[in-house]
Amino acid sequence: MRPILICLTFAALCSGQAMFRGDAAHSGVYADPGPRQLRGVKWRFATGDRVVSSPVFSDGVLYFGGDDGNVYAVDAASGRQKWKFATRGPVPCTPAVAAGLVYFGSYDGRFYAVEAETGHLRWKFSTGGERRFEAKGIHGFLPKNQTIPDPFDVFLSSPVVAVGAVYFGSGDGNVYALDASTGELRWKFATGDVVHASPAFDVGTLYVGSWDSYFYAIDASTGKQKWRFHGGEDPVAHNQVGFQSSPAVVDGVVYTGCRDSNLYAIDAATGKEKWRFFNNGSWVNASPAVVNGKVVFATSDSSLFHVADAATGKPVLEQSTRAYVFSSPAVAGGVAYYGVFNGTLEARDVGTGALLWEYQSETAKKNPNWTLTSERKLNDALLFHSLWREAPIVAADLEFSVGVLSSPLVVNQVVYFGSADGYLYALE
Amino acid sequence: MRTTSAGLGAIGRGIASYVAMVLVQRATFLFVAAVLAQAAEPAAARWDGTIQLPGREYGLVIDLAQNAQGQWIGSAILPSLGVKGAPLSDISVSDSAVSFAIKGVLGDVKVRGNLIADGAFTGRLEQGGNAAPVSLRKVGPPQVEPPRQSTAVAKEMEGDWEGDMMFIDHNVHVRLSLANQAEGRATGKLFLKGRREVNLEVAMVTQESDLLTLEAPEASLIYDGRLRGGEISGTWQQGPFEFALVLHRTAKP
Repeated sequence: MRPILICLTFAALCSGQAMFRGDAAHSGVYADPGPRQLRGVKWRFATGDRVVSSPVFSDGVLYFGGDDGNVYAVDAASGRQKWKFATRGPVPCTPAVAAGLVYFGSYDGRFYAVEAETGHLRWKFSTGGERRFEAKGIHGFLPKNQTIPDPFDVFLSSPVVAVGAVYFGSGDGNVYALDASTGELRWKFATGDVVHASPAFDVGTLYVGSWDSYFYAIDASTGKQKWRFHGGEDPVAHNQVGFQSSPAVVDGVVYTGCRDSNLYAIDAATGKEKWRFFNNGSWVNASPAVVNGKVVFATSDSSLFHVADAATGKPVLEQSTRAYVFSSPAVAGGVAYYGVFNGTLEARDVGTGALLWEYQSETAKKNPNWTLTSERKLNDALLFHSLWREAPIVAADLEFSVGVLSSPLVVNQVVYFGSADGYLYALE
Repeated sequence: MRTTSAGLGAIGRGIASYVAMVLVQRATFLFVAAVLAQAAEPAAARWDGTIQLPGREYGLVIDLAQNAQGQWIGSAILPSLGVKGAPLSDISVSDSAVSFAIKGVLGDVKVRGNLIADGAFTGRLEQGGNAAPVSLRKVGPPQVEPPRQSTAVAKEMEGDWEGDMMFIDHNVHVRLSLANQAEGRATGKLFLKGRREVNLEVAMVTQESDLLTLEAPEASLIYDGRLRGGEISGTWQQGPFEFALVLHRTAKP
């Protein structure tokens, strides 16, 4: 009798839960199959600014954040708005939905819980405030003695809900645990820099990386550190440092990308490195998906889609994506769906790497400001013609103007994702 | 710092009547929306297209419809300019000529033009003394976003309140007056006494269950607080600053 009761209780707890990467451990794997062939755009929903957030689905409704400061509830069937909730800053994180509440953070430095049905505020919590990762002469931008915000720090930490708490990272350097129903602070864990990766939860432990170059395992009930893992450092250009990627935890192994060019597999119990996959100076900012003994991930500068063996890290296949990938691949029915900076959503067979279909937004096809070359690569030679003062910040903003940075959601043969052109798309 | 929803407890009947009022308002809105969906006027639609500025193109989505009284209503979305659901004003539809304004957004914006064949609209958009061509296509039925409006407040919220807060390094005394108006919406006035004295009209007063929210955009101010035990306990947010503020009933003179 007891196992049945436990199963029922667990099912009840999970019912209506939705969060970044599909589950608390961030496997990136979705139960419903997605389209192997593209029929077309089912609908698109207009917002006031770019949509970096990834949608989540609960009881027929999609929830996502907008850089216009709103969090939206949209009917998944019709694409019609149910409600919007206004914050005072961009919301480039993915909401979590659990027990009738929608949780998310905003660049206004507050973390919110609103009612999923109405969008009415239940509680809010003020962190120490948001900010982007920043450093002097970052990425070689000039002047080298000027502290410059990192324009590629595009996400906020997406919350994860587990065991009655909601966990998230913050630009103030802390990882927070709040009571999910009241917003009461349970604990906070200080790291040395911005935490915009999203914590994964598995068997009572939170796993998350910081821009301080460390990856942490934290006891979810006490907030005490279990272990930490040191990624690479880059004290000169501050380019090859920090965990922007969010981890996936599968079968006792933590998989995480890092800006130091590696995808790491780390033993979840001990924090010891099992293997690393080096990407020759290219960031791994997208979060990996882990399915059937394979790790599916993608890179920025090298612009490659990878499948590697989860046990050994040995490469299985790679394919060119032509432009940066910050969007975390969603795997459903043996197909990986992910967005690319050139405004394209790609669907690839995980087994063969074959491109099944692609969709490029109308905005990206127009190629505003010649953001792209004719080969749909980023036109960096034009955009980054100067590295002085604000020029590279403006260039990065132009690069984002057409891209798909949001991680796709797959439900019932439909793929939902946000785009920097300001729309949420539903493809079928 | 946090704001939580506790049980409604003593707030009781006032909240119940407030909820009933809100439900009536929402039912009215749903009825209006149903009428809109059936609108047959050629201009009544969702219009999606672009504004062509020199060297740059911006997206523009306009929803236009007629309400139950036959009046034109509408809202605008500018997907790359941070505008979602801004209400249209001064809407004029006469034969094929259409014009409207989007006030208080990006300065004041005016659009005027004509409906042409095959569900298209061409015209021009004016902002800051400049003008740019606009071309839109009809893409579906209108999805007009109703403008945000103040709600009524519960009886327990009405009247005069006061409290003190530390505003960075000095004390500010705050007085708030809330009153329900005949049309079922509340208005609010703030009087602040710190280093100087300031009178502020509250542009938006809303109450959701026991949560009161006041917005005064001209001062970049939002106050939200919950009514508990005869006090409104909440947070005063002004620009990047945030201060705790508890309001009590104003002592009788």
